[in-house]
Amino acid sequence: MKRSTDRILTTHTGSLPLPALIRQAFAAKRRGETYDQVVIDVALTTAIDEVVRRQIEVGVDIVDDGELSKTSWNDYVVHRVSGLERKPRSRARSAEPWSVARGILRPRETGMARVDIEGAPRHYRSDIAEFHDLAQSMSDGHDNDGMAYVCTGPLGWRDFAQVETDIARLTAAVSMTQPHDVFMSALSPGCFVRFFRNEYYPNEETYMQAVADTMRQEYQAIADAGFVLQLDCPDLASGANTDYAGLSVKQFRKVIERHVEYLNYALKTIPPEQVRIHVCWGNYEGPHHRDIALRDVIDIVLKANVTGITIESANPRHGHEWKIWQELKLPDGKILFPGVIDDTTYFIEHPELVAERIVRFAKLVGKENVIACTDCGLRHLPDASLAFAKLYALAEGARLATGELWRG
Amino acid sequence: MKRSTERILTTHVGSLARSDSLTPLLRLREQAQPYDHEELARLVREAVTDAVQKQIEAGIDIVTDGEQSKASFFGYIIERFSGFQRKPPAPGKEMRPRSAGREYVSFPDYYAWSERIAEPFGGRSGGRGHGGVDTCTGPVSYRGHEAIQKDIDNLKAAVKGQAHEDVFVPAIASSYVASTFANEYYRTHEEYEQAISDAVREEYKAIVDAGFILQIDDPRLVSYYMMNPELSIEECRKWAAQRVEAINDSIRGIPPEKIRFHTCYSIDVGPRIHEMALKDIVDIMLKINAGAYSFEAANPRHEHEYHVFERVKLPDGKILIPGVISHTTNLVEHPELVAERIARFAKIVGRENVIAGADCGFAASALRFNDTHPSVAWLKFDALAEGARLATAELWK
Repeated sequence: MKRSTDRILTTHTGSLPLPALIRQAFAAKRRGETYDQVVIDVALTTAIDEVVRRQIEVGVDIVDDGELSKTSWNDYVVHRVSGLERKPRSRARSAEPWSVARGILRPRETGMARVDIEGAPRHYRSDIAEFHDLAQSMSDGHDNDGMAYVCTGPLGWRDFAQVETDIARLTAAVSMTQPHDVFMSALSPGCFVRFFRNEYYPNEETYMQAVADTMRQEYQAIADAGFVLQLDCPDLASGANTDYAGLSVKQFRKVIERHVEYLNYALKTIPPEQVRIHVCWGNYEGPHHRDIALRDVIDIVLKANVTGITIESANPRHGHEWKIWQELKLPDGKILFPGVIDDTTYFIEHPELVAERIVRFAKLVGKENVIACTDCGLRHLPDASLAFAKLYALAEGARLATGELWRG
Repeated sequence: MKRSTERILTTHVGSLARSDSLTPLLRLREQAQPYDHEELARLVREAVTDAVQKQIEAGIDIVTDGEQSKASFFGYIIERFSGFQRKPPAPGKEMRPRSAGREYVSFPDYYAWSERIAEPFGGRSGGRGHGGVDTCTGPVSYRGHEAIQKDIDNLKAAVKGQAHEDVFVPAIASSYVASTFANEYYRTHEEYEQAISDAVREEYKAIVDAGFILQIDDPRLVSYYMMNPELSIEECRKWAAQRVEAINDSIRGIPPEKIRFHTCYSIDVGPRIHEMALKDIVDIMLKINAGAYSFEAANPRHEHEYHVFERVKLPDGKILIPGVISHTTNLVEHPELVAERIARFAKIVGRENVIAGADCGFAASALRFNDTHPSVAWLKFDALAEGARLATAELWK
């Protein structure tokens, strides 16, 4: 894994806006309608070349494929892994977040239809659930139209070729443009068990074991391709106000300790310096006032046997948490990827603000241990020009920070 | 004007969401249609009492009426000033003026999308433009004496017996009106602006005579640059210096310690990469004869600008009211971040010269889509007060 040895490097957490053609095809796929896979495949090859080129153009050092081939950062696995089955959720669900209907959040162009339902369950996210007047007759925050994938059979790969295709496309795209470094993201075992309930394995332990054994094949393939592997681990933070909202901090810590154990197990054949994990509190513009504090989970996060840790740090709910590094030492060899761009706002951060954020971290953990990153994925931005303008501000800010940190 | 002598005081910019029962009546009045005057008066009175109560409960020290009686921060002009008429826009001026601005030209797809998604919630202009544009067609004079007196009475009744440090009432700047509403009557812009200054001054005096702090709102002072792509920074500075003279004329004789000035950038959420930097306007803004200045400092485009005061000395006696919470995001600022933002300013200009504020109003228009949900605004006020307490502990230890 490259580090900021003579300047501050830049990257992001993975997803970038989808070209319209692909977005429409995914929306059809999600609705269970027919779509033309050949059209998607042809479009993807061009789109990934293009997305790599644009990242380099705006000054991103460590690039990826924008996750353009994936319907989302987590549910891509249902198209690849066997043993998962689409079933109605136990309670009624609706497709559009309640918050969109009330104007609290700006709707994202997910192609989902709005469904109003009566007696909707408590919202999935505890911060939003608190607004009882709003949660009423609205969605619970899940995106799957009342359906959820559940594990009902032995896990295995039914289409591992999709992983290989992703790798081949990105390999081809970067061979032409030669970025500083390349990463590819994948779902962590902890998030897998969080999103897909087990109805097949005798207990949670054997389920986690099966998940780790299955997913590690994807991890290995990405590592073997020479890419940096990013495991998406919002379970370690955002889990606290969603799937595990009923738990105390102590109980939640127990859950994620186990997630990190299985993460380490799944990574045992991959060098830590080839892996980064992404930790966040959920990529949505809600109040977030029920988010668990970083200081309550960071020791467990640091137990992950990986070199890189990307953490949401730019938005107004987590912008103060750089201070934990005043008391906490970043273990030797680790690299911190603080979010210095907030993907939940359509503002383009001022490069001087980006620089200031980078410098704060660099002064505490050492400039060579910091890579400037985004808080979370950028796919939901309404306009690709916004995403790349934000990445340009990121690169500009990194240049300014480099100027300050390396002078004299 | 109270200042942060023993602790960091808190305030905000003024507007708060109107209730679902109040909004339709405000809309009818705004559209010059018949409405139940008594019902509106009753709802406003109740809303002001409620807004004041909630501000105080949240820990706001310097409170206001939440602009409950107004359709928007400037939309009351046509009701309270004579000489204006709502007319169809002139040929070529059908678009909202911002549409020709630097931002809209740079990010046409984003702004088109932004307008589209706001449509079901009242749009971003609150229906302005559909009924025509407010245009000056005759001599301007103030006829809002009764309306402002009602505002004052409501606010006095609401704060009575409630613990608070100060009360403020926002009012529009003459410069904003003159540079926003077309003039078809006066020979020159200067004459037009002077007439508005003389008229608006009556409202200012009523507010100050009531013992309240007058807040003068002029977003145009800084947004003029964004809206006029053909003008350079230097040309906009020259323009702004003239506006400041007009503002000062409108407040002549009123002690500066009775006045605070608010400016902002006229766009809520958006890329906003073409905004006049504070460093390019701060010297001109500080020439306004006010005791305090409220400006945006809590959003990703302006948060770094506290550094400006490392180079520009805040004149003696003046107070800064930087925004430390943002009206553009539903994320509730963490109190520790709020404290950090306050402390940054306090360490540069002195803790007694800082009052913690918001970037802009949470419902600058009652009739249009606002970026922050009403419930979330109250969580933000909690965070503001808690952040001020944390900052106080740090700054007075």
